[in-house]
Amino acid sequence: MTERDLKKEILTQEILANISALTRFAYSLCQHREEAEELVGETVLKAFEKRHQLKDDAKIKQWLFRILNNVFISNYRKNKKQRKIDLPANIDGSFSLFEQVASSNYTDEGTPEKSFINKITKEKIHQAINELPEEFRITLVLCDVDEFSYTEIAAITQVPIGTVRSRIARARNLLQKKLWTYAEELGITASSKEKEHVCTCGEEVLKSTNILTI
Amino acid sequence: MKKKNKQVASINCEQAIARFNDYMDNYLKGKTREELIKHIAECKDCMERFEFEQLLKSKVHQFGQMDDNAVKEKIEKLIASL
Repeated sequence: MTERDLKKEILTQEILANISALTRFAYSLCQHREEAEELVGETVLKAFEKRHQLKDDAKIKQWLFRILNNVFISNYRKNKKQRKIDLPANIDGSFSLFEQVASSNYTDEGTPEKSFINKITKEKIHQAINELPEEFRITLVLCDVDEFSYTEIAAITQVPIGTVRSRIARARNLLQKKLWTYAEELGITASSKEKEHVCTCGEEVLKSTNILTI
Repeated sequence: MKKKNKQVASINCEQAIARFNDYMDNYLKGKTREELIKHIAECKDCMERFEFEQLLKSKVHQFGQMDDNAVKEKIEKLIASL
């Protein structure tokens, strides 16, 4: 086997080993199954075209994700409908699902907070992730689903580590807010004291909103 | 429920909670990591909240996966054609 064949074999194995993660990441970008599959296909073609540029075999996975992100930016994002989302200017640490559940009318044997998490369905988790703004959604998926480090996420998405950390914090905060709305659908409600607190936060949010374009 | 902001093992609960993400994601190092570990070990409220955050992270990991057989087949064909 020549060195070129060996490189092709290593790349092929790495692509197939990570196909699920690549597809999930592509879906978190496109939010459309067929487009995500196309994006993975284009990423594979691009990876083979550029495989001579790959210096460190230990970083193939990160390299593939970065290619996928770049292909999305150049070929797909321009076709995406731009939508504006109102986000609180400062939401870090302002909401805790744990505290909401702990102070709610929800009771269960053992620990109610953990019991509540175990009641959340796969569909609700998917829905909550998919409703996050793009930059928070992809950062959370890379971190929690694909288990990349902050340094690797920074390299893939080409933003500073500080931005990655801030996006993770905001993504988890927003995700918890989404999951709390599902809890309310299940009839779990905050105590009257907490309801007052939520209202106060709501006013603060209305006073200071950022318009983010995704 | 509003928990008390206790000073335990050189940091208080607010400071501990602010470090949860970095710790869960294995980004917290050195003294700040040790302080958090000591705080959680001695503060039941923070321990419970930390376990909750970790459980939620593990749910996102578990439920975030996608079925990949169809895509894998297509990609295998694509690679074979190169």
